[in-house]
Amino acid sequence: MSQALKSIIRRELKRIFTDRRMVITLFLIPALSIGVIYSVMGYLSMNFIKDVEAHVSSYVISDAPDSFKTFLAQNAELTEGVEVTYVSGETVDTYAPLIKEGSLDMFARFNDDFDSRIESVESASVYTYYNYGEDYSEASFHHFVNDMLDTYRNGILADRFENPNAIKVFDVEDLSETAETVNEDKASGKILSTIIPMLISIFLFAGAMSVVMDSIAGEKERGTLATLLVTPVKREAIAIGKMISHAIIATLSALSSIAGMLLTLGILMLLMPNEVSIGVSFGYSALDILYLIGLIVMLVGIYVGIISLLSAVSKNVKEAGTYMTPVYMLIMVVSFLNMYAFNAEPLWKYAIPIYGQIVGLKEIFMYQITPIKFFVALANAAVTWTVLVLWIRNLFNNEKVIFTSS
Amino acid sequence: MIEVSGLKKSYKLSKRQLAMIADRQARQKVKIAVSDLSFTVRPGTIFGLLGPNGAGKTTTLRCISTLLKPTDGKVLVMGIDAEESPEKVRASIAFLTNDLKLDKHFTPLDTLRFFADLHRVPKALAEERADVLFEYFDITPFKDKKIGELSQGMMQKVAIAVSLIHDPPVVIFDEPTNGLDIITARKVTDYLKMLRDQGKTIIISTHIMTVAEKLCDEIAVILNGSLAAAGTVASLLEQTGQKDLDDAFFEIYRAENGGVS
Repeated sequence: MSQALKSIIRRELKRIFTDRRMVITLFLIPALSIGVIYSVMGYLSMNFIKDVEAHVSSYVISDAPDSFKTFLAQNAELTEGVEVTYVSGETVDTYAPLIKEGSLDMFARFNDDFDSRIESVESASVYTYYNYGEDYSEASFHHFVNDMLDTYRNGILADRFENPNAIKVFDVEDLSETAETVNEDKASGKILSTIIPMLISIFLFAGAMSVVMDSIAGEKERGTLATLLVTPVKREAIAIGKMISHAIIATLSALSSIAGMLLTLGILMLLMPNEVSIGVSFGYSALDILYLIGLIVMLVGIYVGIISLLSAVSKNVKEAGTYMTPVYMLIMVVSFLNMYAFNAEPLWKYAIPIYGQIVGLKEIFMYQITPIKFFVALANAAVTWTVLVLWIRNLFNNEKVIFTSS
Repeated sequence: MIEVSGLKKSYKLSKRQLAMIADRQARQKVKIAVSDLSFTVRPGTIFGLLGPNGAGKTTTLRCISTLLKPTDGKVLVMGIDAEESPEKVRASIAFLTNDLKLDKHFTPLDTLRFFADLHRVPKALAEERADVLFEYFDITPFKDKKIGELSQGMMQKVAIAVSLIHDPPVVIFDEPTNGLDIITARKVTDYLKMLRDQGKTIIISTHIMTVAEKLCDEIAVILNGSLAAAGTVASLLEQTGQKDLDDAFFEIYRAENGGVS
């Protein structure tokens, strides 16, 4: 590495690491904001679930037949956390205002002669009323219909046919666990492969964006880039020096975001009830980790190159920002594209810049990546990076780009 | 040695730039900044480009320093073709202009070391030169302060020091005393004289007649991108029959613009 290249890299890194504002924006804010926002969101949603579960639901059931009352009395687990009040001859009119204001969760009314209709195999109905704008009320309704009435109906059917198998027709039992057909790692990998490549891609781009825009468009705006261009250093050395240092910073910034995610995960695991587990196991080899690092480096190189190019043609940071928004959206779309594709991808997809690297990241988690696929991605990254570096070098040689004001 | 022969620089104007010209008839797509300019600057002399704003002085200096490519003509710096080997030319020049700024985040010392590295000056030598330049331009007490915290005059002095860190044989300064107080301006002109006495080739641009008169061994008057007159101060005074450069310049200007001053 030439002395000039080393000096440029050192200076760019020093520029960032000695600037308190940049350190906070690039490394602390992503970790903290992601950590705090997701932790608070997770905490609130967990509280919400706990709250709904802890709530004692109140039902008023009119004209409940004796068979239903007996059924409920015999199945105490169905009335856990539920307070049932039986009334007779009432209609919803009396209870609708209570449901609406939230002091009652649900009202149900059985046909007058429900038991005798069931006995004579005539049609019978249960009328339900709840407030679907109210979470407690909605949860009560689902519990009443799906748990209570369903079990009650099956009991009646079983009595009617005498043989329970007559109504069940057949059982479906999942014996995957006992037969060991499940690849735990792959199952976990599937979860990771859906989210992680997308997040890595987006975090890398976001991390690169602010630093590159400031270093190229900002330096143009401040007139410091021209000072650099009047030295005997080759334009490509300036372009490569800046790109390498920005890639390092963008990777560290993305790592900060990932650390924020892990922090969130840690906090949520502490808050979660014991019976809930994340259900993720890892079985990645050292080679997989190398592939991961390699693909991140490729991706960050391409992103830094694209942002550098756009920053070089912009007159100032503001103009660079306007070019960046559509590109950022495009990167997001590409990152989302293969979120739900779980089959092994064909080799040619690895030859597409950015998409190839994201597919690679995904296939690492799915245990589907092969050396040849990795090298195709590497070749595409090398070609893309060379094109971007040469392009930026030409821009740095272009007087219209250096002196935008003239 | 700087040899400029038949230098021409023209720009294509963008639609926006065209629209900014109020006189519709004067709107032309190509703006000629410099046209058929030739001169030679010998080692051990200070050559001044004298002209009003927009005459083409800065464009000429940018062409010599390889930041702009001439549309036509040739620029040789120390015998090296500026278009063929721009890096070699940049290695042998100090270029100072108002458009080139220093990063305000760094200290003068950091900045000098960085540019010394880019010019491949050995570390010990760079430190030695930095000390001398800081001392001469009274920067030493401020060398560890951020450039952003310095006064405009001090920033200009740091910029001069940075441009000279590699001790190049050719010095190109665009309006070197602009924005400087009288004492600092004198320091800069004295330093340029010292560099001339060391045998360096120096070219400056200025629109301040007193600077040109006192500093320059040779002067080229540029008007509307073309060479209007050239020679020593004495020869220009003789050509125009005037007593000082101020009047001589106006005489040249009047002659060039058909008697309108």
